[in-house]
Amino acid sequence: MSISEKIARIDRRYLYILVFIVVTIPLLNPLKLPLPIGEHATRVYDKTEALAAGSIVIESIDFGPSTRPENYPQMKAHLFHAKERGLKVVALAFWPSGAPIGEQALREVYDSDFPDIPEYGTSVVYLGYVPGAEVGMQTFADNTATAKGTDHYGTSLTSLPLMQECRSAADFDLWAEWASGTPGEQQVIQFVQGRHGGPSAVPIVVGATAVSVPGMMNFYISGQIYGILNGLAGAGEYEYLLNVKYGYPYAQGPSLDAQSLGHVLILLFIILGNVGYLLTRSKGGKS
Amino acid sequence: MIQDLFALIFGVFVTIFIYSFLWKENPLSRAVEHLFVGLAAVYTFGSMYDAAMTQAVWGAQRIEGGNYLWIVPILISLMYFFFFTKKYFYLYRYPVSIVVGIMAGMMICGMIQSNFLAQIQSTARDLPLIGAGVWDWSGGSTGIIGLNSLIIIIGTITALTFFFFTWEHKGALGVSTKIGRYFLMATFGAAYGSTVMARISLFIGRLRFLYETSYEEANILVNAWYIIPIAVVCVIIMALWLRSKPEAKPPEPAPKPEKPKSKG
Amino acid sequence: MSLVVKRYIPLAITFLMGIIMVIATYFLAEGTPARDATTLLTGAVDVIVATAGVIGLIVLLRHHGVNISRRGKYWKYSTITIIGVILYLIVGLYGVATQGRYLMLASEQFAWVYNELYAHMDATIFSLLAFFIASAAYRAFRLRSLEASILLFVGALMLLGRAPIGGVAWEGFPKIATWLLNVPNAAGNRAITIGIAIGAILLAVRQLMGVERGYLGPER
Repeated sequence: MSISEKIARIDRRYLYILVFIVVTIPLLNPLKLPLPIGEHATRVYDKTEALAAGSIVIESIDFGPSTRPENYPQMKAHLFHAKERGLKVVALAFWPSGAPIGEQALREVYDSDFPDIPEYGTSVVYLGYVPGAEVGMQTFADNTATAKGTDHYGTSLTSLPLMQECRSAADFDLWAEWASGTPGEQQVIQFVQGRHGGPSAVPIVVGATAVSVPGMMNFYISGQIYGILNGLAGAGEYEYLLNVKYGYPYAQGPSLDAQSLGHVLILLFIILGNVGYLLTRSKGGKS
Repeated sequence: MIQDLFALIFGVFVTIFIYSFLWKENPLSRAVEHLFVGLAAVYTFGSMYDAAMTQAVWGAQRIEGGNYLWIVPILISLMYFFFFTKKYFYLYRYPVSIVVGIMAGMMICGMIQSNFLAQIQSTARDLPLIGAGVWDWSGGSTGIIGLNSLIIIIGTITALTFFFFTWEHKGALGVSTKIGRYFLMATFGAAYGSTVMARISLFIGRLRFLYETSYEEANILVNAWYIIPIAVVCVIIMALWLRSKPEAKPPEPAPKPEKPKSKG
Repeated sequence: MSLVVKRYIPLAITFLMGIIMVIATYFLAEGTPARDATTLLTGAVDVIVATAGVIGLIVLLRHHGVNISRRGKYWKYSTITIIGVILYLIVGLYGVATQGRYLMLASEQFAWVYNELYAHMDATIFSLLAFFIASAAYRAFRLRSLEASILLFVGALMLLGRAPIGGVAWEGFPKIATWLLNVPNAAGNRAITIGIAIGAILLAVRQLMGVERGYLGPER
């Protein structure tokens, strides 16, 4: 086999081994690459900073374990930010798999005894899984008590003071959507924001997996989405911004270093594949 | 607690067994996939059951609070079981029709405002082409605002014309669809780059679990990466066992039927 | 009569439900009793579809059970699926019986199996895509035409711009990546969004008008 054919026909298992090695190295030995902060993450940060203490934020946890590496750090950082700003948080999940994840994040941000904390019911409420997907979103925005009668722990909403303030979309000051599919940010735009006064009435910030961010850019430029945390990099940027003002730990450094080397490796694979293709094509062979 | 140690060991084993699929499909990866399907089905059932209970039963305005009207959707829901009958199969269609009707109605309302009107409004109203500073260099990732607006307007219209299948793509329409196709390629390129980013992030998440998770109780410390060699040895043993098995012979082809001899 | 009961009444129900939703959105003010009634209707959908989860479970068990009884392909793995279903169901039902509000997800044992066992499998299976995308980058991404070149060029700029290493190599890469997302990508996606919206609205209208009948299932 000629060199050009060897280049064009590398066994995919060698590529897999290379991916494994190249992505592992920075996790064990971080490169500490500087992180540029983009406009999308900055807008999420600025929007949350601009809210007055006591504003009601809806934290919608709509992802599962499969996209946890991207969505969880985004959501946890924003929960911390909301708590530090004195915002009132109503956390819920329209994905059943989001419910235990949300509870874990609230325990890590508020207290390990959550919900047995003094501010539960007045400053923070966890509704857990709200059934119905987009139907549930619409119902929740129309009337929060109709969507679900109790919180995640079985307490009736009528006995939670925060839920007497948060009765419908008219009371939401910000909707923070942590999404990885459907129902997600598009359904919030369609069935919540679109039905209740538009972006000025229900502003939305989104933390999403990187794969879905390009598809939501048209909502971003039309103002329907105010800011976006773009995957793992977005989580890192937000953590960095919080680290500067609030001392929040910036934990995504090694992951982003690994991401960087992974991207470079993929580019090399693309170049290698095209070199092999061009060489075999010039020799008149099949790639 | 001991169940945390079990969870750690289980997590490492299933991770390595599933990754062994990348080398070659094998009984260990297949077994984990089948177990995954079974657990996923039960979880889906559990979440739907919980949805019904929290929606219809628990709460001051539900059956618990004396609002027995919520029994009606429960009874309608039971009509799904007619799916398994032949004679009364048509009764299964009634709850399906209710759900499809409501969802279709919601889809119309939601899509018209947010995905259709708002997008057209934004294209017509929110993209400045004239005004002070619109054609000046803004720096950063913005560049020239007026130029960006022009690109978005042209890109949106030409990409939309790409989907006009009523007329042949010739002449002015042909030029427009060609430009639209280039914009769509840019869209797909951005999607590809983002997809790579997302997938590698998921892999990084699993690697961080393997390298950073540990179980600590009293005097016992078990790091997840202690368990990796044990799991890898299991995979190697499986691979060697598969190799030692004689290859199953393909079934012999059935003998061709004899042609009847012609008379005369 | 039978055709009326079997086909036309379900179609009429679909139409009625859809029209109620449209009228509620566009003609009923928020806070009115009529609008609140339609909110209850949407809430009832969750209760109605709950049985579909049971149906799905029964179909899965039936498929794998038949595979085992006929000693079909991979029948031994079907036993693993069925054992997993039965054990997890037992855990779930135990949780329902012991947890105060007869809920499954709220029971500790059911949630533990999901978070500590299932979650690892889910995350790992998803993460396999990283390897497949690396393989696809090598095998499939070819500079065959101008369109493919644009796709490749934009993809490469996104890869460089969305990771810290791009900013280290040249400060312009992150800015270019952001510009690509905000401008040409947004233009193309806007067209796709509008196209999808038109298609979805038309499909919904066809369902309400009874032209699209696939959801009714086969005629038996």
